[in-house]
Amino acid sequence: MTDIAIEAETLGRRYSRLLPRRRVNWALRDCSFSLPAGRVCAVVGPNGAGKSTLLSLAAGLARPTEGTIRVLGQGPGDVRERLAHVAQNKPLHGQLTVIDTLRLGHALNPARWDQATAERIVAQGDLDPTATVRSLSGGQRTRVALALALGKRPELLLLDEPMADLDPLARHQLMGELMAEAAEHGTTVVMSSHVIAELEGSCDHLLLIRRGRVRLQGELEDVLASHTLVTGPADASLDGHTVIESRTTGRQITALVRPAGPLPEAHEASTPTLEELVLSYLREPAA
Amino acid sequence: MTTTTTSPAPPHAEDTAARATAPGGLTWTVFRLHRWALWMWIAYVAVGSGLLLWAWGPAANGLESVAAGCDLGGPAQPYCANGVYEALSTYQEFMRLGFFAILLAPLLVGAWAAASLTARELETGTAELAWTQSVTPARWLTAKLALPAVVATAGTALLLGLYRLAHLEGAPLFTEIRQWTPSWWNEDLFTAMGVVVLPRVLCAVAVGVLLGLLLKRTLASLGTGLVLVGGGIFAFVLGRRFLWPTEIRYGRDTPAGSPYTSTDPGEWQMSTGAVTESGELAGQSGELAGYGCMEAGYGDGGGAFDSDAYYACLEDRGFTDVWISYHPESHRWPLQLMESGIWLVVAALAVFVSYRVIRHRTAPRERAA
Repeated sequence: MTDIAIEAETLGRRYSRLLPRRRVNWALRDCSFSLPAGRVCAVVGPNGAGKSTLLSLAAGLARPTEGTIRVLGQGPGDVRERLAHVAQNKPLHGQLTVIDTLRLGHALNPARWDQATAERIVAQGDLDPTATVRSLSGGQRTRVALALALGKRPELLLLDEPMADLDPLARHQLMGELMAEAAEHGTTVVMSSHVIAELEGSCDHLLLIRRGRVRLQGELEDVLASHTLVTGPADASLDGHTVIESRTTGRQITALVRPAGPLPEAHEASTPTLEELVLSYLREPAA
Repeated sequence: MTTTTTSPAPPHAEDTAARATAPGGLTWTVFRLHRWALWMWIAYVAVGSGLLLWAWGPAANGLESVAAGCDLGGPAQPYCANGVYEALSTYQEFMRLGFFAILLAPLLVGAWAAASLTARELETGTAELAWTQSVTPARWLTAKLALPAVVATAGTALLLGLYRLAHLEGAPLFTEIRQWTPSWWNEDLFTAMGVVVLPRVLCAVAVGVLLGLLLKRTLASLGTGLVLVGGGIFAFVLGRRFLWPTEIRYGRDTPAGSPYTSTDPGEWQMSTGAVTESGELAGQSGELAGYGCMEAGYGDGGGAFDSDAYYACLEDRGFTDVWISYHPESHRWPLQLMESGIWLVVAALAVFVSYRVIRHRTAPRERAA
């Protein structure tokens, strides 16, 4: 039907307070982007950039203050069945056992529930299914939250900082399982993070948000290919090229540029890593 | 933990099969999440029922058999009277506890609803977990309102029914022994022999849910809920009398005896006063005059009441008559229905606002269902 998973036009969300403050609090402002279906999209940005707000809007948990957002070709309120959302704090009912948590997933998604998948995710972690959620460790809790989300067989999986409270080993393992599930069912994954290591190697689309605005978006390969990391003499001119960030060390300059043509020969050019690219954009002075 | 091979509902099984094994949807969810509260409520109703059943059965029967052994109308027999007194106070004690169980039910339900139904879910984020499953937030809210309302109403109705049974069993004996009928407007009889507690419970659930949605914090919502429901009950205890117009009787219309004498124990007296020469009903000053003239009416010897002397005294003070306002027993149900109506209107408003709040907060359904 559509190969766009999420499409936003001049999307904005302001947090209202009972008493108006002097500074108006826009969590997200004037965001236009489209994320392709069937891919793994990373939503990157510093803390407080608006990543969680964006995912909440996509999940239908909040209404845009301005602009529109379409999810799987429809309004977010109409596709609750087809998407899953795992919030940053992994909300689960502490008094339920793991088994009952999955049963809750079944009860609330009777038409879609895939018990086998959910049980497999749970079984791959070393946890007692009869334990209450309250007694689980952070990593086990994340695993149960993901099992609940994947058991729904979503077409679109929205993950807000999914791996933030996991140790590197658990992160690697769970990410692997998640990617395998997504690949097997062609699930679109939209994952926010400020841990770039978590995204490297698993994402193929990038959406970079800063201060509530989209700074960069596109296929990861294209984005990386369109930027160049250059090192050269500080006095050489980079005029004509878009300089994202530059740092001078002695007489040497290191800069991330979006070249508009051939670069000066004095410069040594290389393709940036995802981390270098993201960090440059985050350090870039506010416009 | 090994992977289970007996898992039900394979992903692409017939939809009907998947639905058949789906464990009850939202209803199951609400009952499972609030299982502990449900058990507590069952225990509460069981204790209250036990007290009232005891009053209805053993206590009332004991009273009956002790009273049967005594000649209640005859001269006092100390041992016999003691036995009757003890049996009566036992019965009354159980009735009193049963009444408290009924009176406190809306407070408990309100406090729980305010803290647990929506506030805690919004505080911990589990509400948003529910809203991203295959149910709309509006349906989630409906389940959160309807199921507790049904359970709370059922438990309260059971307590009310048992109170009625126990009261009807013991009341005639009480009157026979004490030579006095408890008044219908007393808090225990008005509350427990009426219907007002049912709308109070419904209102407690609705207001609790709304507070949770608005405050999103468990403790704040719990405290506010307690204050609002408790304050509401207290306001009706104080102000219930104003919910229906009182009737007025004039002193000159009363046949004999003092003008204030009411022969009907079913009259809930409000205030008294005197009528001025211009025909106005005077409150405090009239009341003073009315009392002041009692002496003139009864004379020095304190014999029969002399109405002529009484009214002459009143006229000296500038009044033509005295009056008394009261609720006759026939006002019992109008008062019950007025109070119930107000609770229900507040409950309906709370429900309406709750739906508005939740619709306003979350993404709407654009496509017609």
